[in-house]
Amino acid sequence: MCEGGRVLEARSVSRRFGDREALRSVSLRVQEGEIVALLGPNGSGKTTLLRVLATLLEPTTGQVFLDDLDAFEDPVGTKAKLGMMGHRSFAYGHLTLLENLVYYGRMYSLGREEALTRGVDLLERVGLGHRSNDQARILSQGMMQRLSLARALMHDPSVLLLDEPFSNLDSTGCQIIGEILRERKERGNSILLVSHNLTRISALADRAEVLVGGVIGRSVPVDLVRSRLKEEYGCALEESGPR
Amino acid sequence: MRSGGEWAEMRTLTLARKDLIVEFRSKQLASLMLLFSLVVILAFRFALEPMLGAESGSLPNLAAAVIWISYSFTAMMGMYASFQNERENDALDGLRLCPVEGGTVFLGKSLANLMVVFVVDVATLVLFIIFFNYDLGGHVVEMLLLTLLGSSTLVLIGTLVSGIAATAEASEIVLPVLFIPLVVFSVIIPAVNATRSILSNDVSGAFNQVAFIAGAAILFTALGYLTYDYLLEG
Repeated sequence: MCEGGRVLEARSVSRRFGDREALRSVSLRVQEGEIVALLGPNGSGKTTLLRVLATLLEPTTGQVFLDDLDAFEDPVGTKAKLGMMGHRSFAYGHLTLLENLVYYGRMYSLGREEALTRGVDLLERVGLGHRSNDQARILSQGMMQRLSLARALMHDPSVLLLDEPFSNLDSTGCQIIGEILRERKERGNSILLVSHNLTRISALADRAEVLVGGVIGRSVPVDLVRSRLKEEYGCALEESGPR
Repeated sequence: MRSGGEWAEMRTLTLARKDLIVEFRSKQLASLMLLFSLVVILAFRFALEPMLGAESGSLPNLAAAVIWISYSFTAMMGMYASFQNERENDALDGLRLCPVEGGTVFLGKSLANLMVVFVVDVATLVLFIIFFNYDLGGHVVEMLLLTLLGSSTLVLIGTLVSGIAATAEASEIVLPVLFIPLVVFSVIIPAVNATRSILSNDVSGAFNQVAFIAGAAILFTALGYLTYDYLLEG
């Protein structure tokens, strides 16, 4: 069980794929109202960790807790509190943007009217209100990314897991997503985000955890991320994406 | 306030509705299945040409086999596409993130698959009647009811197997290798016997076979409902 104030916690999580150990005894906590950046070079296990935390991948050993729930003992209860943005949008190309959101809302037990109202509001919020009746398959990558965030927020989750939320986005898109994440933080949501965009991370995150070779190092203050990464791990993250 | 059962029912219908909308707009599955069923019926028509002329007494036997083999292969083709829309944009992960029991996903997918497969099977029956110049002899209702039962069982087996194939590495191979043996014993053999009885004006002789198919439907519903959580985990 999570101790007071801790919302999301991974305890000694390891994950093997055959002979390869992608995560080695990773422990991590994200508290209420906190934005934590998960950094590390390609192949370091960031996406694997996010998938374990989202209950999409069972750990070989270790436990994940969300509030007082053991995520793998009560996956349904845990999933109801989690929102995730993956590398792909999870959208159905032949459904319209609004239909996609209403569908996911209904799968999270929202009533039809509530799902519709929330879907319309979220599409406006991510700047896609004017495209709500377009089918998702004709959207650009950046717009898909915004739709993906709207989908992750449909059920008003208390924890957000975001894998590269700023990739493929123009500066307006980055700004919109940044604003939404700040709002969610103020409302007490816990956010764990993987990104290579140091400028965005510096502006948003409270602290950063560095994952190298499946092992989490110590927490790094975000303003020191760039220099510490080079000094201690010999890896420099890209200054990618719009500033 | 809805009960857990009502939420599960609502999610089942939501999932089935989504699959049907995607299918209706993409028109991939039904049109391919119809085309495939036409090809299979024509292949049987030309392959059996010598027998059709020689001995008309064997026609009910041939008809039963042709109909159910066509239904089964067409359904298998439909099952290939059952999880296709979930692969697009990794939507299967989106579905697995939802707080939904695997059994609900199984029922929703089965319901949507059944709607498509049953329509295609009825069209297959019509194609059979046209190309084989066959008269059902006043047994249209019985044949439609048997088609509905057989299609349901084919779909339940197919949805279960396509759930296994969805997360398997070689899904194209896994599906037929598992599907065909299961449907031969659970559907094709009893349904062929039942069809032969119906077409030979011995409707009561079909009861045991129908009961066997219904039993298989119940068994595979239970299996799918109970195992889909594990299957989708991959």
